[in-house]
Order: sequence, then C-alpha cells, then structure tokens
Amino acid sequence: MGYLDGSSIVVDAVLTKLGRKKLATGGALNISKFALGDTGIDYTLFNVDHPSGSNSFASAITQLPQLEAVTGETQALRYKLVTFSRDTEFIPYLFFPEGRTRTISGFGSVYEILISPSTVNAEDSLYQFTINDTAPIIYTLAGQTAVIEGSGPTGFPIVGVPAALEIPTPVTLIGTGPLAIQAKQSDKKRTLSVQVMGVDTGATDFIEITVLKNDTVDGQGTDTAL
Amino acid sequence: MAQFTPIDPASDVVSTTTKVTTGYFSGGRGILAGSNFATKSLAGSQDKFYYNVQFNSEDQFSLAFGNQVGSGSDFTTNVKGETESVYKAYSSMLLPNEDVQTGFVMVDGTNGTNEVTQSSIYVFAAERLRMKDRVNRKNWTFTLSGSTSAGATSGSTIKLTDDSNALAAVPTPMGPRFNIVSGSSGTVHTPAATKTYGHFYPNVGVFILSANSLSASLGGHHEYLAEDAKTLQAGAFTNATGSGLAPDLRVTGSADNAAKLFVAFQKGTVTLRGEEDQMTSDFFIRAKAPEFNFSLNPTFASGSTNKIRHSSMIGNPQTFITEVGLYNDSSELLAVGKLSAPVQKNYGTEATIKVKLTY
Repeated sequence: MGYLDGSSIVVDAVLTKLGRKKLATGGALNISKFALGDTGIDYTLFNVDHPSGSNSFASAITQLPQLEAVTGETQALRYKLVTFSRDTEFIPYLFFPEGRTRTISGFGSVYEILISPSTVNAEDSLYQFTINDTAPIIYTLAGQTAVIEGSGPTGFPIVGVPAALEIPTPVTLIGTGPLAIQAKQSDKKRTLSVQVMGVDTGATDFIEITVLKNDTVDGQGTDTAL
Repeated sequence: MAQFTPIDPASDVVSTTTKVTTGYFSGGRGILAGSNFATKSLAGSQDKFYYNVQFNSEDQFSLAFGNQVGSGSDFTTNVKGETESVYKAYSSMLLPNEDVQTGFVMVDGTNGTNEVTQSSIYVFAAERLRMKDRVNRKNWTFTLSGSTSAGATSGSTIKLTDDSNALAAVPTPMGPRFNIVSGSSGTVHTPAATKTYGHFYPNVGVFILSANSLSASLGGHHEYLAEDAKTLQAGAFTNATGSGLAPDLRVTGSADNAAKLFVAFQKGTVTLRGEEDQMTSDFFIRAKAPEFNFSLNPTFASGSTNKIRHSSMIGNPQTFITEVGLYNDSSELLAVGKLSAPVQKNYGTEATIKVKLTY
C-alpha cells in the first residue's frame, strides 16, 4: 500500500494595486473569500483522442508552464472557475443586444449609447461594470447599488482628470443596468473598454468603445486616425 | 455566488510576523571594503554639511560632522556655522527634551570613567531604503583606519560595534539606543563604562560617533585635508599619511571633517545589515469535491448555446486551476497568486492550496 500524497500546493500571492492602495491608506485588507481562475487554459487542448488514454487527455494542459501573476485587479482572474449543479450542460454567458463593439459618434446626449447586458442559460440579479478610463465619458448606471473608485498611478483615487492628460481613471459600478455612456468633448479619437460581469454567475465579457473626435460646432463626431 | 467561497479566519488563516535581515549594501551585500566607496558630487553648499557615500553609483549612507559652537566651519558673530547646524539638528532629533541643550554625553576617556559632553561628533546616517525598518543591531562592524598621530607613517585600525549583546537598550524618543564600543559583530572588546565611541539608534539608522574617542585612537593630522584636495574618489587616499579623526576645529571653510571620516571608512571595511518585519498570512484554500468544477473560460463551452465543449465532460466536468484570488466582502480583488502548473479539478478530487501573502 502506497502512501497518500498529503502535501498541499504552496503559492506566493502578491497584492493587487487595490490591495496596496488599501494598505497605503491605513486600511485593513479584510480578506474574507476566495475565487479560483483558469486564465491561460485552452480547453480545446483537452484531447479525448490521446493514444495513451484518459489519463493523458489533459497532458497538453497540465504540462504548460504558467506566467507570473498580474497585479491589475481587472486583469487578474479573467476567467473564473464556478460551482454549478452537476447536471449543468450549458454555461451562462452575457448577451448584449447592441453588440460588443460600440462607437460614440458625437458629443452630448444625442449620441448616448446603452450597454444592456442579459444573462443566457442562468440569471444575474446585478451586473458589475468596470470602465478602464472614465476621463473621456460621462456615465450613468440604472439601479446602481455600489461604486468602487479606481486607483491611479499613486494608488489613490483620481477624479476630475482631463482626458488630454491620458491618465487612466478606472471605476467599477454595480447595478441592474443598463449603463448609459455619453462622450465628453474631445479633440481626438479615444478608445476605452468596459468589463461586464454577472454578479451571481460570474459570466464576464468585454465591450470595446470608440469615442470619435467631436470638437465640432454641432457635436457630430468624425472618424480620424487619432 | 457561484464564483466565491468564504474563508474562515479561525481555521483557514495563519498569520505570523518574521524578522528578516539582509545585507545593507547594494545587491544585498553585507560586507563592503572601503575601497569600493566614493563620494557623490554634491553642490558646494551641501558638502559643507554632509557627504553621500556611493557604491556602484548608488547612495549607501551619509557622513557628517557636528560641533556645538560651529567650530570646523566658517562662522561669524551673526552667522551660524554649518557644523553647529548639524550638531543641533541631531541633538534635537535624538535626545530627550531635557538633554537637547546639553548635547551628547558619554564616557570618552578624557575624564576617567566619567561622562563628558561631546562638543564634536561624527555622524553616520543610513539610507532608509537600505536599512528597511531598522539597522540590525549587534551584527555590524565599522573598521576604520588612519594614522595614530600627525605625520605618522604606521597605520592604525579600530573596530567598532554595539553592546546590545551585553546591555539593555536605553529608551529614547527615537527608539532604543545602544552604546558604540570597540569590538566586532556584537562582541565587546572594551565596555562602554570604560570607553564609549558613540551612540547607535537602530530605528532611525543613525550612529553618533564621539570625535574625542576616535581621535585618541586614530588621531592623524587635524588639518589633514586642504581645500584643494577635496576631490574624493575611490582609492584616492590609500597612500596618504597622517589621515585621522582628530577634529579640525579651525573656524574656516577649509576644515572638512566629514571628508576625513570618509577617508577612515575608505581605508577600512563596513559590515552592516538592514532589518525588516515581514507580516505573512497563510490562507489555506480548500476547493472541495463539488466546487469549482465548471469554468467561464470561453473555450470550456462552444456553439451558439454555449454547451460544454467536450461531451465526455457533461456530468463529469474537468477544470484546471491556475490562479487564486483573495477578495474582501465587497468582492474587491486584493491579492492574487499563480500556480506554477495547472492543477486538475473534478468531482473526484479536492485541492488544498496554501496561499502565502507577505506584506
């Protein structure tokens, strides 16, 4: 009879930018829960035709060396592992009726866009929206229940930064949605992204947004290279 | 929520604080020969107060000289000398309120075993970046070299350390204070009650050295450095004779006692460590058999209905853990750890991952 392998896996964790910010401002981390992710795994590499049998189906995945952890809280754990009932066959995902690539084609409310997520194959009561840079836009979230200020290079919240300075000012909002976004006046084309996550299911997707150059008298945007 | 599992602080978290010491100098070196040192070019208005000593073009520590009345610098009735500013800056920072006017007091051997006010001090100030939380007591040695007297060709060497191994610290507003005595790496050669070479404040990384005590051992010529010989580069003084630490108390800008201390270090060796209190929390993450067996990774499912990609996984899903995220109650991601290799998870396995967070 062989010995059971009772050893645990040891992982060195690093603080995210948000974690460092909380310590720098004298706050406690108050870690209370965990999540697991499989970022970097491609399940198409799971090979059920492997000549060595089922023990080797996952060999192409498990032998893959892993990259170091990233410390941006919106980049880490891009794909999470979740707990569903065992008979689940269809995985929840987010659907956006307006599409996932959006353009704000002018300045002001006339050109406002909506991001209206819904969850397919399950239900989410709330959605979390993380905007990577709020400087070029004005946003309103319907049914907003929480807001988490973003952190700038100094680790402290940055608000009121003109877009021209190109200092990212991220923000995370939680609410029922939809998220309404208008462009501020801008003398160049800008791009940003919104990460949307279903709070109950964890289903996540990205919306790419282009804000056209719109410093015209009528606010109509023009599609320029920059 | 399907994606989070609570952590029980009573059974899943173990926190410890560990004292970690590292070599003080660049690259974690703990011992550095003085021949490696050079002074950083400073503006003329600054080098009257202190020198920054570099190794590999990186600042390592600063050296200064102070005198209670400004001797060793150029002053007049209405203009304070730089050395007086240095002395009073350190005395006001380090000494208890009632002792600030008196100055630094220690047994320097000039009055038997009685304490004497030190009118002149040499100062070694550590870089905060290198000392971390504090300078590591006991495990340090300054080896200073010079001549015993003016014009002497034979060299002399003195080794200094602290007596924290033998005596309890003296509490001060700047944390514990230990005596600097002759000896090495915490082993005392001559006790402080007989002769004290200075006071050591580990929490602020400051070493106050008695000019009287040092000049008795490494006197040299008090006017050793002239104004035109002040270009201090590595190795520049290795053949000089008469260098020492008898303070040059002339009231002139030509006096440069901090540079003399640099020369004494340059001809010797420094052994020094920084010290840091590292707080570590070990989180025991337990992914139980029924948990984390599905993935939101887009390659896990396929098709317009997002059905599990491999039919063999329906009812028996297989996932691969590569990351662990630690969150607060607001679901803010505060720390993240990455596994060196993916760990397979399914309904037939449990995974225990020890996540070590050091800060």
